[in-house]
Amino acid sequence: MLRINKLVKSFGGILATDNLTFKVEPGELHAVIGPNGAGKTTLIEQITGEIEPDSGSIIFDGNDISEVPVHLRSAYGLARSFQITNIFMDMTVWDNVALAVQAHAGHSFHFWKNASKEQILREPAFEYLQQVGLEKRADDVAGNLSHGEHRQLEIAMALATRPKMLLLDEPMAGMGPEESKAMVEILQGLKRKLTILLVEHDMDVVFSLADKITVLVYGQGIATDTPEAIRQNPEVRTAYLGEEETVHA
Amino acid sequence: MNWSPRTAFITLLMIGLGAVPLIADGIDEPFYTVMFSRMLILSIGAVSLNLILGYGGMVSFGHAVYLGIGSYMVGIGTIHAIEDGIEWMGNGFIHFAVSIVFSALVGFVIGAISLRTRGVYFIMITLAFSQMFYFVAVGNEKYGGDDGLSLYMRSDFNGLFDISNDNTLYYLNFVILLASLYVSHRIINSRFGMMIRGAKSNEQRMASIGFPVFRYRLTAFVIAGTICGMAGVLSANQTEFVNPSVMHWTRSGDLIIMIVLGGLGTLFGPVIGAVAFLFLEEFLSGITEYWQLIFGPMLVLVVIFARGGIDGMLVLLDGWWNRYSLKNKA
Ligand SMILES: Nc1ncnc2c1ncn2[C@@H]1O[C@H](COP(=O)(O)OP(=O)(O)OP(=O)(O)O)[C@@H](O)[C@H]1O
Ligand SMILES: [Mg+2]
Repeated sequence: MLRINKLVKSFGGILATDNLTFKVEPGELHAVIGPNGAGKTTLIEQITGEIEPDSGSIIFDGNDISEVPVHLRSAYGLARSFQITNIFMDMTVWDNVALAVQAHAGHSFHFWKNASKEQILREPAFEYLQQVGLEKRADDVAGNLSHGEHRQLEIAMALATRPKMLLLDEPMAGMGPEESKAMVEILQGLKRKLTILLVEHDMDVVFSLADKITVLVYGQGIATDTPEAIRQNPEVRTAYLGEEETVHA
Repeated sequence: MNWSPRTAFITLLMIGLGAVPLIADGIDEPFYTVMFSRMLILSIGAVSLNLILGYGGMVSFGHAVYLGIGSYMVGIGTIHAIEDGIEWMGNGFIHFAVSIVFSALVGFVIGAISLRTRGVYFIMITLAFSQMFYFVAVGNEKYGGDDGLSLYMRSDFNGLFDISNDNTLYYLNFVILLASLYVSHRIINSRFGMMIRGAKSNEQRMASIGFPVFRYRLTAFVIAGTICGMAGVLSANQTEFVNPSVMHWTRSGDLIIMIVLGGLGTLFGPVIGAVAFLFLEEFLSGITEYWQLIFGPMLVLVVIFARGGIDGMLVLLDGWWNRYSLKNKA
Protein backbone atom coordinates (compact mmCIF):
# COMPACT_ATOMS: atom_id res chain seq x y z
CA MET A 1 0.00 0.00 0.00
CA LEU A 2 2.68 2.45 1.07
CA ARG A 3 6.41 2.21 0.48
CA ILE A 4 8.87 4.64 1.98
CA ASN A 5 12.13 4.48 0.09
CA LYS A 6 15.43 5.87 1.42
CA LEU A 7 13.67 9.01 2.55
CA VAL A 8 15.89 11.85 3.78
CA LYS A 9 14.90 15.20 5.24
CA SER A 10 17.07 17.56 7.21
CA PHE A 11 16.22 20.86 8.86
CA GLY A 12 19.45 22.80 8.99
CA GLY A 13 21.74 20.45 10.87
CA ILE A 14 19.02 18.15 12.18
CA LEU A 15 18.32 14.95 10.28
CA ALA A 16 14.61 14.56 10.92
CA THR A 17 14.32 11.65 8.47
CA ASP A 18 17.51 9.67 8.03
CA ASN A 19 17.48 7.28 5.08
CA LEU A 20 14.21 5.75 6.16
CA THR A 21 12.79 2.70 4.40
CA PHE A 22 9.74 0.62 5.33
CA LYS A 23 6.45 -0.47 3.88
CA VAL A 24 2.87 -0.79 4.98
CA GLU A 25 0.72 -3.64 3.63
CA PRO A 26 -2.90 -3.08 2.58
CA GLY A 27 -5.27 -3.38 5.53
CA GLU A 28 -2.47 -3.22 8.04
CA LEU A 29 -2.47 -1.04 11.12
CA HIS A 30 1.09 0.11 11.21
CA ALA A 31 2.30 2.06 14.22
CA VAL A 32 5.26 4.43 14.22
CA ILE A 33 6.74 5.03 17.63
CA GLY A 34 9.71 7.03 18.80
CA PRO A 35 10.69 9.61 21.40
CA ASN A 36 9.80 13.29 21.06
CA GLY A 37 11.52 14.85 18.10
CA ALA A 38 12.22 11.48 16.47
CA GLY A 39 10.73 12.72 13.22
CA LYS A 40 7.28 11.11 13.28
CA THR A 41 5.31 14.20 12.29
CA THR A 42 7.95 15.08 9.72
CA LEU A 43 7.47 11.61 8.21
CA ILE A 44 3.68 12.04 8.02
CA GLU A 45 4.00 15.44 6.41
CA GLN A 46 6.32 14.08 3.76
CA ILE A 47 3.78 11.37 2.99
CA THR A 48 1.00 13.97 2.67
CA GLY A 49 3.21 16.35 0.69
CA GLU A 50 3.24 19.21 3.17
CA ILE A 51 6.99 18.80 3.60
CA GLU A 52 9.20 18.09 0.61
CA PRO A 53 11.84 15.41 1.24
CA ASP A 54 15.48 16.09 0.32
CA SER A 55 15.73 12.72 -1.38
CA GLY A 56 14.08 9.34 -1.55
CA SER A 57 10.65 8.37 -2.78
CA ILE A 58 7.16 7.58 -1.56
CA ILE A 59 5.11 4.99 -3.40
CA PHE A 60 1.42 4.89 -2.57
CA ASP A 61 -0.97 2.36 -4.04
CA GLY A 62 1.43 1.72 -6.92
CA ASN A 63 2.00 5.40 -7.76
CA ASP A 64 5.14 7.38 -7.06
CA ILE A 65 3.58 10.35 -5.28
CA SER A 66 6.84 12.04 -4.28
CA GLU A 67 6.20 15.04 -6.50
CA VAL A 68 2.40 15.16 -6.27
CA PRO A 69 0.85 18.25 -4.60
CA VAL A 70 -1.01 17.92 -1.29
CA HIS A 71 -4.56 18.15 -2.63
CA LEU A 72 -3.95 15.45 -5.25
CA ARG A 73 -2.54 13.04 -2.69
CA SER A 74 -5.87 13.37 -0.98
CA ALA A 75 -7.50 12.43 -4.28
CA TYR A 76 -5.24 9.35 -4.48
CA GLY A 77 -6.71 8.24 -1.15
CA LEU A 78 -4.45 9.57 1.59
CA ALA A 79 -5.88 11.39 4.59
CA ARG A 80 -4.30 12.58 7.78
CA SER A 81 -5.27 13.85 11.18
CA PHE A 82 -3.14 16.52 12.79
CA GLN A 83 -1.22 16.23 16.04
CA ILE A 84 -2.25 19.78 16.86
CA THR A 85 -5.92 20.26 16.07
CA ASN A 86 -6.25 21.83 12.65
CA ILE A 87 -9.89 22.39 11.73
CA PHE A 88 -12.21 25.19 10.61
CA MET A 89 -12.71 26.75 14.02
CA ASP A 90 -15.29 29.34 12.92
CA MET A 91 -17.58 26.87 11.17
CA THR A 92 -19.98 24.37 12.68
CA VAL A 93 -18.87 20.82 13.33
CA TRP A 94 -21.20 19.60 10.60
CA ASP A 95 -19.87 22.16 8.12
CA ASN A 96 -16.32 21.02 8.84
CA VAL A 97 -17.11 17.47 7.82
CA ALA A 98 -19.42 18.50 4.96
CA LEU A 99 -16.54 20.49 3.51
CA ALA A 100 -14.36 17.39 3.60
CA VAL A 101 -17.14 15.45 1.83
CA GLN A 102 -17.46 18.25 -0.71
CA ALA A 103 -13.74 18.06 -1.48
CA HIS A 104 -14.36 14.59 -2.93
CA ALA A 105 -17.77 15.15 -4.51
CA GLY A 106 -16.63 16.57 -7.84
CA HIS A 107 -15.44 20.10 -8.48
CA SER A 108 -16.71 23.02 -6.43
CA PHE A 109 -17.56 25.40 -9.26
CA HIS A 110 -21.17 25.43 -8.12
CA PHE A 111 -22.10 29.03 -7.49
CA TRP A 112 -25.83 28.99 -6.95
CA LYS A 113 -27.25 26.12 -4.93
CA ASN A 114 -27.16 26.38 -1.14
CA ALA A 115 -24.51 23.89 -0.03
CA SER A 116 -25.89 23.60 3.48
CA LYS A 117 -29.10 22.17 2.00
CA GLU A 118 -27.41 19.61 -0.24
CA GLN A 119 -28.25 16.24 1.24
CA ILE A 120 -25.48 14.56 -0.77
CA LEU A 121 -23.03 16.52 1.40
CA ARG A 122 -24.92 16.79 4.68
CA GLU A 123 -26.02 13.19 5.11
CA PRO A 124 -22.67 11.48 4.65
CA ALA A 125 -21.10 14.16 6.84
CA PHE A 126 -23.56 13.35 9.60
CA GLU A 127 -22.77 9.65 9.31
CA TYR A 128 -19.06 10.33 9.81
CA LEU A 129 -19.96 12.38 12.87
CA GLN A 130 -21.95 9.43 14.20
CA GLN A 131 -19.04 7.14 13.49
CA VAL A 132 -16.81 9.14 15.83
CA GLY A 133 -19.61 9.86 18.30
CA LEU A 134 -19.90 13.57 17.65
CA GLU A 135 -23.42 13.79 16.18
CA LYS A 136 -24.83 15.61 19.20
CA ARG A 137 -22.40 18.46 18.57
CA ALA A 138 -23.17 18.75 14.85
CA ASP A 139 -24.58 22.28 14.98
CA ASP A 140 -22.07 23.76 17.42
CA VAL A 141 -19.26 25.98 16.28
CA ALA A 142 -16.13 23.85 16.07
CA GLY A 143 -14.10 26.32 18.11
CA ASN A 144 -16.33 25.65 21.12
CA LEU A 145 -15.63 21.92 21.31
CA SER A 146 -13.50 20.34 24.01
CA HIS A 147 -10.02 19.10 23.25
CA GLY A 148 -11.17 15.49 23.05
CA GLU A 149 -14.01 16.39 20.71
CA HIS A 150 -11.57 18.24 18.48
CA ARG A 151 -9.59 15.01 18.15
CA GLN A 152 -12.77 13.17 17.18
CA LEU A 153 -13.59 15.82 14.61
CA GLU A 154 -10.09 15.46 13.15
CA ILE A 155 -10.83 11.78 12.53
CA ALA A 156 -14.30 12.44 11.11
CA MET A 157 -12.86 14.94 8.62
CA ALA A 158 -10.14 12.55 7.56
CA LEU A 159 -12.71 9.76 7.09
CA ALA A 160 -15.00 12.05 5.12
CA THR A 161 -12.44 12.20 2.31
CA ARG A 162 -13.03 8.44 1.91
CA PRO A 163 -9.35 7.55 2.06
CA LYS A 164 -7.69 4.24 1.35
CA MET A 165 -5.14 5.05 4.00
CA LEU A 166 -5.30 7.10 7.18
CA LEU A 167 -2.29 8.78 8.71
CA LEU A 168 -3.05 9.51 12.34
CA ASP A 169 -0.65 11.77 14.20
CA GLU A 170 -1.13 11.13 17.92
CA PRO A 171 -4.93 11.02 17.82
CA MET A 172 -5.01 10.65 21.61
CA ALA A 173 -2.61 13.46 22.47
CA GLY A 174 -3.84 15.34 25.53
CA MET A 175 -6.96 13.20 26.03
CA GLY A 176 -8.31 12.03 29.37
CA PRO A 177 -8.67 8.28 30.08
CA GLU A 178 -12.37 8.19 29.12
CA GLU A 179 -11.81 9.98 25.84
CA SER A 180 -8.79 7.80 25.05
CA LYS A 181 -10.85 4.69 25.55
CA ALA A 182 -13.48 6.01 23.15
CA MET A 183 -10.79 6.81 20.61
CA VAL A 184 -9.29 3.30 20.88
CA GLU A 185 -12.75 1.93 20.13
CA ILE A 186 -13.00 4.16 17.07
CA LEU A 187 -9.62 2.94 15.87
CA GLN A 188 -10.60 -0.66 16.49
CA GLY A 189 -13.68 -0.08 14.37
CA LEU A 190 -11.55 1.31 11.54
CA LYS A 191 -8.93 -1.41 11.65
CA ARG A 192 -9.04 -3.64 8.54
CA LYS A 193 -11.49 -1.30 6.82
CA LEU A 194 -8.61 1.00 5.99
CA THR A 195 -4.88 0.90 5.99
CA ILE A 196 -3.70 2.94 8.96
CA LEU A 197 -0.41 4.52 9.91
CA LEU A 198 -0.65 5.40 13.58
CA VAL A 199 1.77 7.63 15.42
CA GLU A 200 1.16 7.24 19.13
CA HIS A 201 3.02 7.57 22.41
CA ASP A 202 0.73 5.36 24.47
CA MET A 203 2.50 1.99 24.36
CA ASP A 204 -0.49 0.01 25.64
CA VAL A 205 -2.56 1.29 22.74
CA VAL A 206 0.18 0.71 20.21
CA PHE A 207 0.94 -2.84 21.32
CA SER A 208 -2.71 -3.82 21.51
CA LEU A 209 -3.73 -2.36 18.13
CA ALA A 210 -0.76 -2.57 15.80
CA ASP A 211 0.02 -5.34 13.33
CA LYS A 212 3.44 -3.90 12.67
CA ILE A 213 5.54 -1.32 14.43
CA THR A 214 8.31 0.88 13.09
CA VAL A 215 10.61 2.39 15.68
CA LEU A 216 12.05 5.76 14.85
CA VAL A 217 14.98 7.27 16.74
CA TYR A 218 16.63 10.48 15.56
CA GLY A 219 15.05 10.03 12.15
CA GLN A 220 16.39 6.51 11.71
CA GLY A 221 14.15 3.48 11.45
CA ILE A 222 15.90 1.14 13.83
CA ALA A 223 13.34 -1.65 13.43
CA THR A 224 10.11 -2.61 11.66
CA ASP A 225 8.49 -5.74 13.01
CA THR A 226 5.52 -7.33 14.80
CA PRO A 227 4.73 -6.08 18.31
CA GLU A 228 6.15 -9.25 19.96
CA ALA A 229 9.37 -9.03 18.02
CA ILE A 230 9.68 -5.31 18.79
CA ARG A 231 9.21 -6.04 22.48
CA GLN A 232 12.08 -8.54 22.35
CA ASN A 233 14.36 -6.45 20.15
CA PRO A 234 17.42 -5.54 22.27
CA GLU A 235 18.31 -2.53 20.13
CA VAL A 236 14.82 -1.10 20.56
CA ARG A 237 14.89 -1.78 24.30
CA THR A 238 18.10 0.14 24.86
CA ALA A 239 17.37 2.92 22.38
CA TYR A 240 13.78 3.53 23.18
CA LEU A 241 11.57 1.32 25.27
CA GLY A 242 13.88 1.25 28.30
CA GLU A 243 14.16 4.98 28.29
CA GLU A 244 10.43 5.34 27.83
CA GLU A 245 9.71 3.12 30.83
CA THR A 246 11.90 5.16 33.13
CA VAL A 247 10.20 8.29 31.92
CA HIS A 248 6.78 6.86 32.67
CA ALA A 249 7.77 5.30 36.02
CA MET B 1 -39.07 36.39 9.79
CA ASN B 2 -37.70 37.26 13.20
CA TRP B 3 -37.71 41.03 13.62
CA SER B 4 -34.50 41.66 15.46
CA PRO B 5 -33.05 45.18 15.58
CA ARG B 6 -30.51 44.14 12.97
CA THR B 7 -33.01 42.91 10.39
CA ALA B 8 -35.14 45.96 11.10
CA PHE B 9 -32.20 48.30 10.57
CA ILE B 10 -31.07 46.64 7.37
CA THR B 11 -34.60 46.48 5.96
CA LEU B 12 -35.18 50.14 6.73
CA LEU B 13 -31.84 51.05 5.21
CA MET B 14 -32.64 49.26 1.97
CA ILE B 15 -36.18 50.64 1.78
CA GLY B 16 -34.78 54.07 2.59
CA LEU B 17 -32.22 53.80 -0.19
CA GLY B 18 -34.98 52.75 -2.55
CA ALA B 19 -37.02 55.84 -1.66
CA VAL B 20 -34.28 58.46 -1.88
CA PRO B 21 -35.21 60.02 -5.26
CA LEU B 22 -38.89 60.25 -4.23
CA ILE B 23 -37.99 61.98 -0.98
CA ALA B 24 -35.38 64.22 -2.61
CA ASP B 25 -37.89 65.33 -5.23
CA GLY B 26 -40.52 65.75 -2.55
CA ILE B 27 -38.40 68.16 -0.54
CA ASP B 28 -36.99 69.67 -3.72
CA GLU B 29 -33.40 68.79 -2.92
CA PRO B 30 -32.27 66.74 -5.96
CA PHE B 31 -28.73 67.01 -4.66
CA TYR B 32 -29.49 64.12 -2.29
CA THR B 33 -30.22 61.81 -5.19
CA VAL B 34 -26.75 62.49 -6.56
CA MET B 35 -25.13 62.03 -3.18
CA PHE B 36 -26.88 58.73 -2.47
CA SER B 37 -26.20 57.59 -6.01
CA ARG B 38 -22.51 57.75 -5.17
CA MET B 39 -23.18 55.67 -2.06
CA LEU B 40 -24.89 52.99 -4.11
CA ILE B 41 -22.06 52.80 -6.62
CA LEU B 42 -19.37 52.54 -3.96
CA SER B 43 -21.57 50.01 -2.17
CA ILE B 44 -21.42 47.80 -5.26
CA GLY B 45 -17.64 48.15 -5.29
CA ALA B 46 -17.47 47.31 -1.59
CA VAL B 47 -19.84 44.35 -1.94
CA SER B 48 -17.62 42.93 -4.67
CA LEU B 49 -14.44 43.44 -2.66
CA ASN B 50 -16.10 41.88 0.37
CA LEU B 51 -16.47 38.63 -1.58
CA ILE B 52 -12.72 38.15 -1.67
CA LEU B 53 -11.67 40.23 1.33
CA GLY B 54 -14.42 39.49 3.82
CA TYR B 55 -15.26 35.92 2.87
CA GLY B 56 -12.04 34.84 1.23
CA GLY B 57 -9.48 36.61 3.41
CA MET B 58 -7.70 38.03 0.35
CA VAL B 59 -6.68 41.57 1.28
CA SER B 60 -6.58 43.08 -2.19
CA PHE B 61 -5.30 46.62 -1.99
CA GLY B 62 -5.95 47.37 -5.63
CA HIS B 63 -9.63 46.83 -6.09
CA ALA B 64 -10.28 50.34 -7.39
CA VAL B 65 -8.50 49.31 -10.56
CA TYR B 66 -11.80 47.83 -11.76
CA LEU B 67 -13.62 51.07 -10.97
CA GLY B 68 -11.06 52.65 -13.27
CA ILE B 69 -11.55 50.07 -16.00
CA GLY B 70 -15.33 50.48 -16.00
CA SER B 71 -15.05 54.26 -15.90
CA TYR B 72 -12.58 54.49 -18.74
CA MET B 73 -14.63 52.14 -20.91
CA VAL B 74 -17.47 54.67 -20.64
CA GLY B 75 -15.15 57.68 -21.00
CA ILE B 76 -13.33 56.36 -24.02
CA GLY B 77 -16.48 54.95 -25.57
CA THR B 78 -18.51 58.13 -25.33
CA ILE B 79 -15.62 60.26 -26.61
CA HIS B 80 -15.50 58.20 -29.79
CA ALA B 81 -19.26 58.12 -30.02
CA ILE B 82 -19.43 61.91 -29.98
CA GLU B 83 -16.21 63.03 -31.67
CA ASP B 84 -16.07 60.29 -34.33
CA GLY B 85 -19.77 59.58 -34.58
CA ILE B 86 -19.29 55.87 -33.80
CA GLU B 87 -22.69 55.39 -32.26
CA TRP B 88 -22.30 51.87 -30.80
CA MET B 89 -19.40 53.10 -28.71
CA GLY B 90 -21.83 55.14 -26.68
CA ASN B 91 -24.03 52.13 -25.96
CA GLY B 92 -24.39 51.26 -22.29
CA PHE B 93 -24.83 47.53 -22.85
CA ILE B 94 -21.56 47.53 -24.72
CA HIS B 95 -19.94 49.55 -21.93
CA PHE B 96 -21.04 46.93 -19.43
CA ALA B 97 -20.02 44.01 -21.62
CA VAL B 98 -16.59 45.39 -22.44
CA SER B 99 -15.99 46.36 -18.80
CA ILE B 100 -16.92 42.89 -17.61
CA VAL B 101 -14.65 41.19 -20.10
CA PHE B 102 -11.76 43.56 -19.52
CA SER B 103 -12.12 43.46 -15.73
CA ALA B 104 -12.18 39.68 -15.86
CA LEU B 105 -9.00 39.59 -17.92
CA VAL B 106 -7.21 42.05 -15.68
CA GLY B 107 -8.47 40.23 -12.59
CA PHE B 108 -7.22 36.96 -14.01
CA VAL B 109 -3.73 38.30 -14.66
CA ILE B 110 -3.40 40.15 -11.34
CA GLY B 111 -4.87 37.20 -9.45
CA ALA B 112 -2.78 34.59 -11.19
CA ILE B 113 0.35 36.40 -10.05
CA SER B 114 -0.62 37.85 -6.69
CA LEU B 115 -2.50 34.81 -5.34
CA ARG B 116 0.75 32.86 -5.27
CA THR B 117 1.80 35.09 -2.40
CA ARG B 118 0.32 35.65 1.05
CA GLY B 119 -0.01 38.36 3.65
CA VAL B 120 1.90 41.58 3.15
CA TYR B 121 3.29 40.42 -0.20
CA PHE B 122 -0.21 39.92 -1.53
CA ILE B 123 -1.23 43.39 -0.37
CA MET B 124 1.86 44.94 -1.96
CA ILE B 125 1.51 43.16 -5.30
CA THR B 126 -2.17 44.04 -5.72
CA LEU B 127 -1.29 47.61 -4.77
CA ALA B 128 1.57 47.70 -7.27
CA PHE B 129 -0.66 46.45 -10.09
CA SER B 130 -3.32 49.05 -9.41
CA GLN B 131 -0.72 51.81 -9.32
CA MET B 132 0.59 50.54 -12.63
CA PHE B 133 -2.85 51.02 -14.17
CA TYR B 134 -3.10 54.39 -12.49
CA PHE B 135 0.10 55.60 -14.10
CA VAL B 136 -0.90 54.18 -17.47
CA ALA B 137 -4.01 56.36 -17.27
CA VAL B 138 -2.01 59.39 -16.11
CA GLY B 139 0.41 58.97 -18.99
CA ASN B 140 -2.20 58.40 -21.67
CA GLU B 141 -2.59 61.90 -23.13
CA LYS B 142 -4.96 60.74 -25.85
CA TYR B 143 -7.56 60.05 -23.19
CA GLY B 144 -6.99 63.05 -21.00
CA GLY B 145 -3.91 61.97 -19.05
CA ASP B 146 -3.78 63.46 -15.61
CA ASP B 147 -6.74 65.77 -16.27
CA GLY B 148 -9.10 63.03 -17.30
CA LEU B 149 -12.07 63.13 -19.63
CA SER B 150 -15.37 64.94 -19.41
CA LEU B 151 -18.35 62.97 -20.62
CA TYR B 152 -20.65 64.80 -23.01
CA MET B 153 -23.22 62.06 -22.84
CA ARG B 154 -24.18 59.25 -20.52
CA SER B 155 -24.31 55.65 -21.70
CA ASP B 156 -27.19 55.04 -24.05
CA PHE B 157 -29.44 52.04 -23.42
CA ASN B 158 -31.18 51.80 -26.80
CA GLY B 159 -33.99 53.97 -25.52
CA LEU B 160 -35.02 51.24 -23.05
CA PHE B 161 -34.38 53.68 -20.27
CA ASP B 162 -32.68 57.05 -20.22
CA ILE B 163 -30.04 57.57 -17.55
CA SER B 164 -29.48 61.18 -18.49
CA ASN B 165 -32.26 61.52 -15.94
CA ASP B 166 -30.61 61.37 -12.49
CA ASN B 167 -33.49 59.44 -10.99
CA THR B 168 -33.35 56.77 -13.66
CA LEU B 169 -29.61 56.44 -13.15
CA TYR B 170 -30.23 56.18 -9.43
CA TYR B 171 -32.57 53.26 -9.92
CA LEU B 172 -30.17 51.58 -12.31
CA ASN B 173 -27.55 51.81 -9.56
CA PHE B 174 -30.02 50.52 -7.03
CA VAL B 175 -31.05 47.54 -9.14
CA ILE B 176 -27.45 46.60 -9.82
CA LEU B 177 -26.66 46.89 -6.11
CA LEU B 178 -29.58 44.59 -5.28
CA ALA B 179 -28.44 42.18 -7.98
CA SER B 180 -24.88 42.12 -6.70
CA LEU B 181 -26.12 41.53 -3.16
CA TYR B 182 -28.27 38.65 -4.36
CA VAL B 183 -25.44 37.16 -6.40
CA SER B 184 -23.12 37.50 -3.39
CA HIS B 185 -25.66 35.81 -1.18
CA ARG B 186 -25.99 32.88 -3.54
CA ILE B 187 -22.25 32.52 -4.08
CA ILE B 188 -21.36 32.72 -0.40
CA ASN B 189 -23.71 29.88 0.49
CA SER B 190 -22.90 27.69 -2.49
CA ARG B 191 -20.25 24.98 -2.63
CA PHE B 192 -17.94 27.54 -4.17
CA GLY B 193 -18.59 29.91 -1.28
CA MET B 194 -17.99 27.21 1.32
CA MET B 195 -14.70 26.50 -0.39
CA ILE B 196 -13.68 30.18 -0.38
CA ARG B 197 -14.61 30.58 3.28
CA GLY B 198 -12.84 27.37 4.21
CA ALA B 199 -9.67 28.61 2.56
CA LYS B 200 -9.86 31.79 4.62
CA SER B 201 -10.42 29.84 7.80
CA ASN B 202 -7.68 27.25 7.30
CA GLU B 203 -5.87 27.00 4.00
CA GLN B 204 -3.62 24.14 5.07
CA ARG B 205 -6.55 21.98 6.00
CA MET B 206 -8.30 22.75 2.73
CA ALA B 207 -5.37 21.34 0.79
CA SER B 208 -5.15 18.44 3.19
CA ILE B 209 -8.77 17.39 2.59
CA GLY B 210 -8.16 17.64 -1.14
CA PHE B 211 -9.09 21.10 -2.42
CA PRO B 212 -7.00 22.75 -5.14
CA VAL B 213 -7.35 26.11 -3.40
CA PHE B 214 -5.61 28.33 -5.95
CA ARG B 215 -8.02 27.91 -8.87
CA TYR B 216 -11.05 28.67 -6.68
CA ARG B 217 -9.42 31.74 -5.18
CA LEU B 218 -8.53 32.96 -8.64
CA THR B 219 -12.13 32.49 -9.79
CA ALA B 220 -13.39 34.48 -6.82
CA PHE B 221 -10.86 37.19 -7.58
CA VAL B 222 -12.12 37.42 -11.17
CA ILE B 223 -15.79 37.50 -10.13
CA ALA B 224 -15.13 40.31 -7.65
CA GLY B 225 -13.30 42.26 -10.34
CA THR B 226 -16.09 41.98 -12.88
CA ILE B 227 -18.74 43.18 -10.43
CA CYS B 228 -16.58 46.15 -9.50
CA GLY B 229 -16.02 46.88 -13.18
CA MET B 230 -19.77 47.36 -13.48
CA ALA B 231 -19.64 49.82 -10.59
CA GLY B 232 -17.02 51.68 -12.61
CA VAL B 233 -19.41 52.04 -15.56
CA LEU B 234 -22.02 53.49 -13.23
CA SER B 235 -19.50 55.76 -11.54
CA ALA B 236 -18.43 57.42 -14.79
CA ASN B 237 -22.05 58.02 -15.71
CA GLN B 238 -22.76 59.46 -12.31
CA THR B 239 -19.92 61.97 -12.24
CA GLU B 240 -19.87 62.54 -16.03
CA PHE B 241 -16.16 62.72 -15.63
CA VAL B 242 -13.35 60.19 -15.63
CA ASN B 243 -9.86 60.71 -14.34
CA PRO B 244 -7.08 58.49 -13.04
CA SER B 245 -7.92 59.23 -9.41
CA VAL B 246 -10.85 56.73 -9.54
CA MET B 247 -8.23 54.01 -9.34
CA HIS B 248 -5.76 55.72 -7.07
CA TRP B 249 -4.63 53.48 -4.20
CA THR B 250 -6.46 55.69 -1.73
CA ARG B 251 -9.72 54.72 -3.47
CA SER B 252 -8.85 51.05 -2.94
CA GLY B 253 -8.14 51.93 0.65
CA ASP B 254 -11.54 53.65 0.95
CA LEU B 255 -13.26 50.46 -0.23
CA ILE B 256 -11.44 48.45 2.43
CA ILE B 257 -12.36 51.02 5.08
CA MET B 258 -16.02 50.86 4.06
CA ILE B 259 -16.05 47.10 4.48
CA VAL B 260 -14.28 47.19 7.83
CA LEU B 261 -16.51 49.99 9.05
CA GLY B 262 -19.70 48.21 7.97
CA GLY B 263 -18.75 44.67 8.87
CA LEU B 264 -16.21 42.39 7.23
CA GLY B 265 -17.62 39.22 5.76
CA THR B 266 -21.30 40.07 6.23
CA LEU B 267 -23.74 40.45 3.36
CA PHE B 268 -24.93 44.00 4.08
CA GLY B 269 -21.84 45.22 5.93
CA PRO B 270 -20.30 46.81 2.83
CA VAL B 271 -23.50 48.73 2.06
CA ILE B 272 -23.81 49.98 5.62
CA GLY B 273 -20.14 50.88 5.56
CA ALA B 274 -20.28 52.73 2.25
CA VAL B 275 -23.28 54.77 3.38
CA ALA B 276 -21.70 55.53 6.75
CA PHE B 277 -18.36 56.39 5.15
CA LEU B 278 -19.81 58.90 2.69
CA PHE B 279 -22.11 60.39 5.32
CA LEU B 280 -19.19 60.93 7.66
CA GLU B 281 -17.11 62.36 4.85
CA GLU B 282 -19.91 64.76 3.95
CA PHE B 283 -20.62 65.72 7.54
CA LEU B 284 -17.07 65.97 8.85
CA SER B 285 -15.73 67.81 5.80
CA GLY B 286 -18.46 70.38 6.46
CA ILE B 287 -16.96 70.97 9.89
CA THR B 288 -13.30 71.07 8.99
CA GLU B 289 -11.04 70.76 6.02
CA TYR B 290 -8.95 68.27 7.98
CA TRP B 291 -11.87 65.88 8.43
CA GLN B 292 -9.59 62.87 8.05
CA LEU B 293 -7.98 63.83 11.36
CA ILE B 294 -11.32 63.07 13.01
CA PHE B 295 -12.28 60.19 10.75
CA GLY B 296 -9.00 58.30 11.23
CA PRO B 297 -9.21 57.99 15.01
CA MET B 298 -12.91 57.13 14.75
CA LEU B 299 -12.04 54.25 12.50
CA VAL B 300 -9.34 53.08 14.88
CA LEU B 301 -11.90 53.06 17.69
CA VAL B 302 -14.31 50.99 15.58
CA VAL B 303 -11.59 48.48 14.77
CA ILE B 304 -10.53 48.20 18.42
CA PHE B 305 -13.92 48.19 20.14
CA ALA B 306 -16.25 46.77 17.50
CA ARG B 307 -14.39 44.07 15.61
CA GLY B 308 -17.46 43.35 13.50
CA GLY B 309 -17.94 47.00 12.49
CA ILE B 310 -21.41 48.53 12.52
CA ASP B 311 -22.99 45.21 11.63
CA GLY B 312 -21.17 43.66 14.57
CA MET B 313 -22.72 46.29 16.86
CA LEU B 314 -26.15 45.41 15.47
CA VAL B 315 -25.49 41.76 16.26
CA LEU B 316 -24.63 42.77 19.84
CA LEU B 317 -27.85 44.76 19.98
CA ASP B 318 -29.72 41.66 18.78
CA GLY B 319 -28.25 39.74 21.69
CA TRP B 320 -29.54 42.29 24.21
CA TRP B 321 -32.86 42.42 22.45
CA ASN B 322 -33.26 38.64 22.62
CA ARG B 323 -32.47 38.55 26.33
CA TYR B 324 -34.83 41.44 26.96
CA SER B 325 -37.74 39.90 25.06
CA LEU B 326 -37.12 36.52 26.73
CA LYS B 327 -37.32 38.18 30.13
CA ASN B 328 -40.57 39.88 29.20
CA LYS B 329 -42.09 36.61 28.06
CA ALA B 330 -41.16 34.86 31.32
N1 LIG C 1 9.75 23.09 10.19
C1 LIG C 1 10.83 22.70 10.91
N2 LIG C 1 11.96 23.45 10.93
C2 LIG C 1 13.04 23.07 11.62
N3 LIG C 1 13.10 21.96 12.35
C3 LIG C 1 12.03 21.16 12.40
C4 LIG C 1 10.83 21.49 11.69
N4 LIG C 1 9.90 20.53 11.90
C5 LIG C 1 10.50 19.65 12.71
N5 LIG C 1 11.77 20.02 13.01
C6 LIG C 1 12.71 19.25 13.84
O1 LIG C 1 12.78 17.94 13.31
C7 LIG C 1 12.81 16.99 14.35
C8 LIG C 1 11.65 16.05 14.21
O2 LIG C 1 10.44 16.74 14.51
P1 LIG C 1 9.02 16.03 14.48
O3 LIG C 1 8.01 17.08 14.76
O4 LIG C 1 8.87 15.28 13.23
O5 LIG C 1 9.12 15.03 15.70
P2 LIG C 1 8.01 14.08 16.30
O6 LIG C 1 8.57 12.73 16.28
O7 LIG C 1 6.72 14.28 15.63
O8 LIG C 1 7.94 14.62 17.79
P3 LIG C 1 6.72 14.67 18.81
O9 LIG C 1 6.62 13.31 19.42
O10 LIG C 1 7.12 15.68 19.79
O11 LIG C 1 5.51 15.05 18.04
C9 LIG C 1 12.81 17.78 15.66
O12 LIG C 1 14.16 17.91 16.08
C10 LIG C 1 12.24 19.10 15.28
O13 LIG C 1 12.76 20.12 16.09
MG1 LIG D 1 4.88 15.00 16.16
